[in-house]
Amino acid sequence: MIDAGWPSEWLRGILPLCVIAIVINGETHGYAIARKLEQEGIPNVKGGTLYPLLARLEHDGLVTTRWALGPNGPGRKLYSVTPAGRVWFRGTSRNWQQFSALTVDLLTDVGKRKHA
Amino acid sequence: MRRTTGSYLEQLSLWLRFQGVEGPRIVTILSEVRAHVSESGENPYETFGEPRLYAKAFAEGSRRRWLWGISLAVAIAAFLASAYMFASDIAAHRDFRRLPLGGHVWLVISIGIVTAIVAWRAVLVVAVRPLSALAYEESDTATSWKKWAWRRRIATAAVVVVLVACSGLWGVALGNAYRDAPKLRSATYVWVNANAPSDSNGEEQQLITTSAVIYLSAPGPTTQLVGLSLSTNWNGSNDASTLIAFPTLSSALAAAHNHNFGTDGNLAPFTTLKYGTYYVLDYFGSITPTVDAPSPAEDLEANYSVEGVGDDTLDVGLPINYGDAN
Repeated sequence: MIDAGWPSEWLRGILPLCVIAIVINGETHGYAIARKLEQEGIPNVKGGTLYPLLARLEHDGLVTTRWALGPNGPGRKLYSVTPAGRVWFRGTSRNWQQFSALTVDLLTDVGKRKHA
Repeated sequence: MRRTTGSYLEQLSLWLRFQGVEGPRIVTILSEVRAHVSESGENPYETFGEPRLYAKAFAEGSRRRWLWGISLAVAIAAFLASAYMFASDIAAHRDFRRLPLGGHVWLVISIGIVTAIVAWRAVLVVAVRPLSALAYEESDTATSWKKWAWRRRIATAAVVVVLVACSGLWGVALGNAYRDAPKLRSATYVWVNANAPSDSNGEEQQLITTSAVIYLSAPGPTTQLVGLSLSTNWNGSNDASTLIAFPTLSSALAAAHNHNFGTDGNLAPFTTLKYGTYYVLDYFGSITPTVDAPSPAEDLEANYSVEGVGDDTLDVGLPINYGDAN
């Protein structure tokens, strides 16, 4: 775990999937997504990264938005996943898990060979 | 510079607008920044990065900026072209028609184009002005930018209505002016040759030969040259005339300077005159003074009729100087 956050080049590939994984559990807003990411062990995702990403997801039709009044203060944008977003998430997350298993195998094999 | 949320939103709104991002989207982006920092307590400069860089993440909409630039360039080009035409019209014709809005038709049209674009942008800027204020309003942002979008639509509609009304009025006035318009004009060059009176009583018949350039001032109904005569207190008779058409004023003036008179008869009357054609009118007449020591002033009167409008007369002043004429 890195306190300052994971390297941004790692995040670039996986962050859209993580954001959808959070939003798919229920309508939520930008700051809540950032907090949830932090709780899940991906800290320090800046607003400057998160909101352009959300805008891209909205533009691609993977999420949809509506405005609601905040509890105390300005209105905020609530994000929810569209049916197209769910389809994309299922396919991409399966692929990512495959990719991730392969990379984990590769890395652990190196360790085993060392010990052997 | 203070690095507060307020200054961040202000700078960000400017950079977003500069990137060509549309107003409603700017409000959305600003509102999200504000919502985020008000909940997290973070400094926007740290979490969102410098406004200029953050704005770049939303820069896809810059096509509209190109459109705006191109339309402005076209309007300026039209304006310059018409200013040039206007200037060359003054130089070449020394006669530009008085239009309902004054000035020359091309000038008015291009001033209209430029004014329309500038007015539209100005109205939009006024309607758009409270963009960063909208993000601050403690109200539903969605309602706010919907209100903004309506203001924009109403402003655009108002500009269109005003433009349509203006161009309609101007078009009607222009149409009326053209319907009544065709006037026969003479260019500055008039050449006259007259016999000097052989005695002081001046009762002897005089011969006058003259060459003038005439043309129609505007397009319009069929216009016909009807008759030619000499005016004032002389008895005159028209012996010969010709009318030769030229495509440009300069070629007509050059031909008039050569004054090659035709003597085949009185050919000029009952010629249909066309707008955009310049005619050299050669006239050969004889006059007999009816008074002693007649005034040297003499007019060649060209009568013409405009179909559906009526008859009119062009007086071409003949600068007769008996002392110098041969």
